[in-house]
Amino acid sequence: MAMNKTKILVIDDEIDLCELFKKILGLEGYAVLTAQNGYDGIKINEKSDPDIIILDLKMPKISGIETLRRIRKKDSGVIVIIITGYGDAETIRDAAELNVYEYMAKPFNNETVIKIIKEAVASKGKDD
Amino acid sequence: MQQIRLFKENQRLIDELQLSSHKLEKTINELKKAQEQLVQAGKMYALGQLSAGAAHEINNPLAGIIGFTEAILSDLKNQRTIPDEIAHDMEIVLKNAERCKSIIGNLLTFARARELQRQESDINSLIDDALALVEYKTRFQNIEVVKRYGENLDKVNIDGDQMTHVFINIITNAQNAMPDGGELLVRTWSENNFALIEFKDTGIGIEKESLLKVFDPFFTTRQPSQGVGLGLSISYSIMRRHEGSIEAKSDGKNKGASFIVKIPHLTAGRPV
Amino acid sequence: MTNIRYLIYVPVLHTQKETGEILLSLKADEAPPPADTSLAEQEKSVKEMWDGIHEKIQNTNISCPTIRIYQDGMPVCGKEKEIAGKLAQKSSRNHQLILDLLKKGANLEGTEDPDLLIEEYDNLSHLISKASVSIQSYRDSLNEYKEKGAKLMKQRDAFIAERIKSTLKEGETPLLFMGVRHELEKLLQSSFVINYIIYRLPFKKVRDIYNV
Repeated sequence: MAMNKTKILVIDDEIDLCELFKKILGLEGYAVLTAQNGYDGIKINEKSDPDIIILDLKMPKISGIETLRRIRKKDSGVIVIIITGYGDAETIRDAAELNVYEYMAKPFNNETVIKIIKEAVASKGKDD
Repeated sequence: MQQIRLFKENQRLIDELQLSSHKLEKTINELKKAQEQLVQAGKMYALGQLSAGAAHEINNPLAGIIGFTEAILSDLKNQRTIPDEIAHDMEIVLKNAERCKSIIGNLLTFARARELQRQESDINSLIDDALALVEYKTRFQNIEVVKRYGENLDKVNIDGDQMTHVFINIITNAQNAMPDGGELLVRTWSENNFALIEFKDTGIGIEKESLLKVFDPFFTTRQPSQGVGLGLSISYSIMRRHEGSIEAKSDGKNKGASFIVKIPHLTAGRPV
Repeated sequence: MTNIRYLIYVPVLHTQKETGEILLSLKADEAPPPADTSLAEQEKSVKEMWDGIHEKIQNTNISCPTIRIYQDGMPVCGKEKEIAGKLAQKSSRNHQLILDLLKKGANLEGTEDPDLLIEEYDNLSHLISKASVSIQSYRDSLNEYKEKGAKLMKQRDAFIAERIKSTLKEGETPLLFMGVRHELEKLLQSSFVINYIIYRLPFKKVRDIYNV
């Protein structure tokens, strides 16, 4: 029986963290895609239509906030969770305007991230 | 009568001049104060940026350390003990711990900005010393070092250790720009009472938008694991304290880059 | 370099109930806001947010007696501790944390201009009254509220920044708990090195009123 796995796209220039998310979210049964910069992230979002995006803010080429702006132009529905090592008042305001589900700081506890993802998945079910 | 009038007129002019001079002095003092405040405000903002940059840089490898350690513990607890996987995860933990160490080390260097210990030095010898220190990497990466040293260059009055640090930063940068080999040209010459050194590589180059930011703290176009982006800003700071300068030039992507260091010459025992 | 002053900035979210109660603390004769059905979920997420903030503040190892707390919505009125106490009793995790810090020797400073807070309360009440008519009517009024709110926020922030600069004592570190819509850092970053404490901000759980 084919199971429709929840798809999570991780956009972060830290390769080790992409690998970490693949591991811990993969063990929970989610399908995890990764991108190391905003441009690739935008492409993968359009192509693969993930349910949830985990988004870093400080990345080369274009910032996380700019990436999110462009994603939101075409996709107002995808759940976006920002996980950043560099949070400040301005990016929090920008994130609020762009309708993020959650804004988290690095470093984080795996358990907390998994819990938030599960709640986000559940909420998506409710809204659908 | 006329003389008295003239005298009074002169007196009046002198008084007016004195008044203007006082006003001017007051204005200058106010301007100075405003400028100091601006500089201080700028410093605060810059310090805030630096501190934020530092936090960011540490948070990423920390996330790696904490995340993978938790994952390993969870695997062990759930008896998911796949030795290869656990060994791999532990290597990532170790790698990120080393990154933290390096970030903190760089930060302390930057923060300390210790007093310059100047002495008469020969630029060409210093460059040779710096090259020798990173020679293993140059050899390993197939980089040919071409030296074109000016002869009989005047001595300079510099902190040898810190200047070597600058050279190593620039050479390391060049090495990182040529992962598949290339050429590093090192030229020295004198011009207008300055000793000039050029480090020119045939590597990946620096794009126009990045040229303006290349000496900013924590600016880097490399992968996070390859370095934190403090080397060049530390070098910039060291050059300023020597009353010299450092400049970056590049024709763009894959067109190599050139770093030019200028150091004032020693003249009659004092830097010009 | 002259004295470097540090500031700890904690961006926070309040549940709708908390926001209502904070503003209500200025109007003793008003009835409490209507209960929200998803209150339990909101409160759980916000509690977790505060637990994380609490832990991070403890990890800073800053000596509590050197902390001066500035709180979003806390009027300058001479009864700041009392207000914090009342709100803490009504389960505001924000104010429970403040009381905790006060017990350890921190200082609490009246932060906002009471008149501006009352104006905010009136604007918010007006908006909420539209919601009781219809969601569409609420949405229509939202833009007006946002515009007024933005203008008011600038005035509030100017007051708060001045308040911090004028009340902070030598050797003290300001600790700010501010809702995410404030733009205070713009007014403070030239005088202080700002260190942010962020754990998590559960935007969707708290159902920011802008996103109804």
